[in-house]
Amino acid sequence: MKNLILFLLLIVSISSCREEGIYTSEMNSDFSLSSSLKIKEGTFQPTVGIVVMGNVEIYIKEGKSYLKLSNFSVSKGPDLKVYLSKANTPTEFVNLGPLQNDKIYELPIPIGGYSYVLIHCQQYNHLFATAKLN
Amino acid sequence: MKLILSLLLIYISINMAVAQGCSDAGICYFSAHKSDIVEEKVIKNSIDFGYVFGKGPKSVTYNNAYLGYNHDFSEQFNLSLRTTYNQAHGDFGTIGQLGDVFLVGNYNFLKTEKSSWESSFGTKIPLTSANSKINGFALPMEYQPSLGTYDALFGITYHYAYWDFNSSLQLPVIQSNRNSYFDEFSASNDYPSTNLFKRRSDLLLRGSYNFITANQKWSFKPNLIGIYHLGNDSFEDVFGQRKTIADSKGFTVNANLISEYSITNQNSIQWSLAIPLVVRKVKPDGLTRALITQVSYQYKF
Repeated sequence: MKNLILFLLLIVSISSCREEGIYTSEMNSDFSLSSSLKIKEGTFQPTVGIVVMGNVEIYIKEGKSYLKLSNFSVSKGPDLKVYLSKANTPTEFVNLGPLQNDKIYELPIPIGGYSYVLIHCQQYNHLFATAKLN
Repeated sequence: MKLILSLLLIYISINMAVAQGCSDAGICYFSAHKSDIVEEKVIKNSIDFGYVFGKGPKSVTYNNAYLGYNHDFSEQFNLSLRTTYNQAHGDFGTIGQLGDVFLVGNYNFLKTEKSSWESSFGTKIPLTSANSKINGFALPMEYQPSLGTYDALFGITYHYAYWDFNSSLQLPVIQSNRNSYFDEFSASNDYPSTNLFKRRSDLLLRGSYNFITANQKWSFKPNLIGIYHLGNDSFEDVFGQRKTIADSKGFTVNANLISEYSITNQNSIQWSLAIPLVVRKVKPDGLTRALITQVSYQYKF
């Protein structure tokens, strides 16, 4: 019986698995910001204990606003999100989704009034970096 | 089975698991526990493990397993410990992880020749915060191995002859769900947003009748289980505002048949099948199954 239980535990531990599906495979978007107009940009500053580098740029193309990270890297976090925020803390914000360095984020609202971009760990409610848009 | 002195049917693990488990139909996950005496030796412990297959309403399939241990401290009081492993497979991929740990105590009282009462209390401890991802993509609750809530469990059961009637309450005490799934950011439109999901309580009512064959080797226990989800669940939208999920409260009714074969006085196997008869209109917690079946083995010592 003891061996059986150990065997079951072994099966469970080795069967902890993660395989991608059609909705979770890496997708390369062919969307580009060519012929768009850069209207704002900012440089990321870290919070305590975090290492960050890179910039954020806001573009307008065909009447829509887009956010792009440029030369960006940040300390690893379990649940990092990109927030468009009215302040340098996540109080009034728009969650743009999970952090992906090469992703171009379409903004669901006009940029007016939102003057910061935050990198925020939602799972542990910890702010990683801020960038003021100029 | 003349050697069986008393039937202390431990329904808490059954009944509570339904409300919380991987499925509203998950009542069939758990096996009944008996306190036995075999050849003058009092049996106070049992171990059980099982495999559960489930089919979700959105073409998700589930392969789950559990391992449990029960100990009778006296004829009146019993404790059971159980852990679950849950694997989901579907269009978002395949993900498997340990789910929850349950610790449940049962106290039997007012026992007469034909009837008895049993009170149950316990807790469910999540082993994940329901924010598992694949390739950095957040997954809906249907794929999460746990609800991510610390729950208190209360139940009362009345046993009369071969009938059992139970009522249970599952109360989320600490909402530690950190799920980050947004319908807006997903390629799928099958699941509602459950970012920072908060779940409401469940109330369960159950009735069952136990048919036992003349040789006492087989038993068949049909069950009817009603679960009322007491309020609408909620999530945090992209603007950081908490929104209730309309129609997520409501009634679920499951039909379940548990069949058990006693190989010896100390070994038994069990099979069960459950299907939902009535389901809630919106099920953001990912618990509902179109079908669920389980095979389990129990060893008493």
